[in-house]
Amino acid sequence: MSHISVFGFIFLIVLVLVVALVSRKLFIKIRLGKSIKWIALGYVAVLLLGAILTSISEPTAKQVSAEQRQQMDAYNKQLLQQFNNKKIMIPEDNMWVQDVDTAEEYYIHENEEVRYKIVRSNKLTNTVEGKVYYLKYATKQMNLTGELPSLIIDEGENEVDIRRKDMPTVKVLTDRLDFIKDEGFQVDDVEGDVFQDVLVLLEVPKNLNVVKE
Amino acid sequence: MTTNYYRIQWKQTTEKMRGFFIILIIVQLFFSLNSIAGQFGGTVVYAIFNANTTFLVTLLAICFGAIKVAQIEPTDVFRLPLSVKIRVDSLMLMLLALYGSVTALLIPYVAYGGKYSDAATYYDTTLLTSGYFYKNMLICFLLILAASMWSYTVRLLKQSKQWMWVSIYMVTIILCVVAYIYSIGHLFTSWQWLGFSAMLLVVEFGFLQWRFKGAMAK
Repeated sequence: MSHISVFGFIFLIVLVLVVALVSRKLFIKIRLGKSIKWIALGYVAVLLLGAILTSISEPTAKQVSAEQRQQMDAYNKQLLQQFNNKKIMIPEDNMWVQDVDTAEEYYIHENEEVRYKIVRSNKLTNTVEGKVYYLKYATKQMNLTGELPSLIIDEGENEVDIRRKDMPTVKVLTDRLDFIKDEGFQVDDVEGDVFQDVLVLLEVPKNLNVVKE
Repeated sequence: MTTNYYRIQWKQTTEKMRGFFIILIIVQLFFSLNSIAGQFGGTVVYAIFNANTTFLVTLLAICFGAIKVAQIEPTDVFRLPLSVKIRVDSLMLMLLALYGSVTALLIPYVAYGGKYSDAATYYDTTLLTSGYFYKNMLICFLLILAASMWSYTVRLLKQSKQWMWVSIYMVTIILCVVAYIYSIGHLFTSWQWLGFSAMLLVVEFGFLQWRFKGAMAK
């Protein structure tokens, strides 16, 4: 139920009430006027019209051109290279600064969607600086750059945990052969490269003992 | 001039099922509105809503409607032959199944109309020109018909108090379904759905013809 907002729920209730009110009048009308043929046919006609209009309108999926795809691939390649060299020139998407106690161990909670790189810095004494970078990616049909889920950065006293809020669910209706099963799949099923799209560059004081969990 | 039993029976049946078309509209609209409400959600992106639910709800509604179709009215001036009744009623059920399958399949697509567009949402809008749509419609039609014929026959047998035949009928259908599912062994493809509903319809119509062939139930 998490995807249904309060507004949506109220909207639903109001509509149900309206339908309930209208339907009673309709029922009376059917008995009296015998207009059922027209109501049923009109209903089908309206649905058909809607379907035709939907068919005419352009699909809203942003098709990824070969050029765009190349650009994204180039960006990703550059970013990954810089990330591996621990020097990133591309502006970060998100950053945080955190006070730490260098006498204790610093814990990083690892998960498969986030890659960390640790840089030891002389400038920092009692703080840790984290910078988050997203990889841009496109699947064959769509550009998913704007669909990246938001992050939750949990800063503990001497620990950090970066998680995704939730994966966007994409429902696709391409395989109509397979009966009316509307397939819902998470974007990471589209292509394997959706995994590990979050890169974190973590600058820590030189004497801090970092432990990955 | 000879009495046209079929015409009288058709009048009776349509009179009985008149309001049912509206009930179907309400049931379907309720469930698609439910899905439209889901569009106001946050990060979750949908392209199509409750196609399965709309279909299942329509199927259930027509199944319950078929029980009403099967009812033999005690107030009839004269009892029409059952062989006439089953023919006319199965025609009515076909009409209902066609109406139900077309509308149940169209509704989820119409929900696209008010849909905000999104990069992650893509769908095939070539609905009416795609063969899949008509294939799905055929399968939906046959499935709804099979399901409603099932409840119709059970109700008809119950009314004539043929309890033994009710159980034989149920067992036959269940055996057919189980055997089919067992022999396929995985989720059905569209052709297997077609085969499934066709098998059920053959069994059901065969049974109906066999049990209610004469003027009265045996």
